[in-house]
Amino acid sequence: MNAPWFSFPDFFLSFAALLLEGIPFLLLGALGSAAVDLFLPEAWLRRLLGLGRGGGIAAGYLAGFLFPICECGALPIVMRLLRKGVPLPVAATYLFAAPLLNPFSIASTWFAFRSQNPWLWVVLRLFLGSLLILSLSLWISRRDTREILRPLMEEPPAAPIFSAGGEVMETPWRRRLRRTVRSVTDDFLAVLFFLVIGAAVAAFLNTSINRGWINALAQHALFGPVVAVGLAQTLSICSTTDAFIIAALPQFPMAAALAFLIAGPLFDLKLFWIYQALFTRFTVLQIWLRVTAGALLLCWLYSLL
Amino acid sequence: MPVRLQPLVEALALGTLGATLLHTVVSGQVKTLLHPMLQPLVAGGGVALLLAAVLHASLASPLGWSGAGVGRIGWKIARDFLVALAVAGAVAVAPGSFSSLALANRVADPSAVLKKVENDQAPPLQTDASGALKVETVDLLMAAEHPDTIQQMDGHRVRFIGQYLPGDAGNLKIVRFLMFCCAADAQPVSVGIKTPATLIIPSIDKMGWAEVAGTVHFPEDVPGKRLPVVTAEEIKPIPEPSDKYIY
Repeated sequence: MNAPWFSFPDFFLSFAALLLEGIPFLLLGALGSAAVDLFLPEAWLRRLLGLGRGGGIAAGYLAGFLFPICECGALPIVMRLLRKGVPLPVAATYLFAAPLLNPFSIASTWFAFRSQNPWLWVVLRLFLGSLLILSLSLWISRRDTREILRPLMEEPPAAPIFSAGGEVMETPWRRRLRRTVRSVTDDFLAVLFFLVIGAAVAAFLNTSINRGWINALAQHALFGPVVAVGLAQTLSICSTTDAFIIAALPQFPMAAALAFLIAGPLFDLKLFWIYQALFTRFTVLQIWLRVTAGALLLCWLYSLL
Repeated sequence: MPVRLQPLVEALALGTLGATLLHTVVSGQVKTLLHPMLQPLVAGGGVALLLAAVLHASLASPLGWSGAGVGRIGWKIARDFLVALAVAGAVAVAPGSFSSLALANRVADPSAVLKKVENDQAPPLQTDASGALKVETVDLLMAAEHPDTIQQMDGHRVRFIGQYLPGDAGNLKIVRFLMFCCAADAQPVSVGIKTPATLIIPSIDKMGWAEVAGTVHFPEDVPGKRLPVVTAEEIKPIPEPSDKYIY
């Protein structure tokens, strides 16, 4: 069953590895989502509502540093924050910022380039990535939420606390816990469904593309970043380890490697499916276009300096 | 009926996912899929998912979840079934190591691949009963990066294991995959082997596991670039090792 360019066993090995890598982080995100639902004080949310557009985006950006989680885990938390009434620009900024800005991604970038001026790589990744995140957040903040979001799963209706005879059926705490468990489970399984599709597509491309084919284009000043962004988005590698991969492909010049490092965490094939748990497909395609165009523009500009 | 069935299917899906994750840990399969740093997360995730399955089943109302249409619930039941099947199925059929096609597809500069590990604290090399240094393919490639280590190792007898990739004209390769995070990002690290005409090589499957003993040299075949080449004295098939990857 193996074509000369494709191996089913290799595909299943990569597919299973991507799933096992993603599921624990998705679960952490679901647990974070439950914690938000059960413990996040309403007063904090009211403060977020009062921050305005700029303040809200800044809050979402800072949360990316303070609550580290990779791209798979961020979505359940964002879905929960939106249901709790957090404005979309704040939640979306966190969604985009968390994979790129989290301390694990920063540390892995430093380690991967530790023999090649690592702080420069870290600073450039953070700076260029932050510009891209800011542009996405400003764009989202100007959009009508109803146009770009899929309908979020409805909260369960309130179950009766008292039976017909008047006796207490369940305590408010148990009722709240039941609602949270149901909602978080549904979020987890919904995002996992998209993770499975994304991991399958990424595993297919991961095992069928010969990386030697890209060598000639990789070194080109104009096409190098295009190839690097394409590679980042097809391989769908976790943002906490992608730096090791691009560091092992020295045919890419620095501008192209930076394009790989800022575009991949914000959008890849896996995220194309995962984002559809939250955004409409048209919006997801728009995010892809903006991430790709923005990363290329920034890195082409950098290469001119 | 679907309304009553949904909580049960959700609990079963969570339980299947938890059991699958724990199975990979207990069977050791997780070592072929993820870096050791991430393996505790899989164990913790498996336990958490099993607990979630129990909690989910115990909190569900006997009348099932309410508040959604039957069509939507039917879709969710199908979705949960497919998700559990995909994860359990992928883990069940995933092999322990890559084929030679992955080696061809994942071409990379070995010296750049090794940048990740070059400063890691490696234990001192041990010798076996015959006096050969027990090394990994990575050790030989890393030694080729520095004049001092080239001088120290050149001409030494070494013994190492890897996957066997036959070539032509008495040249073959021994390959290990270096895993950074998960098998999807593993990069091949191979060492060239020269086989004298007098050497009898037993039958070994392509990408099967082999042990090689021989003398290592670092010729400068490309100007400014030295790579290790081992002139084999002995090549024999071995069973699959428990650690198929280098981390």
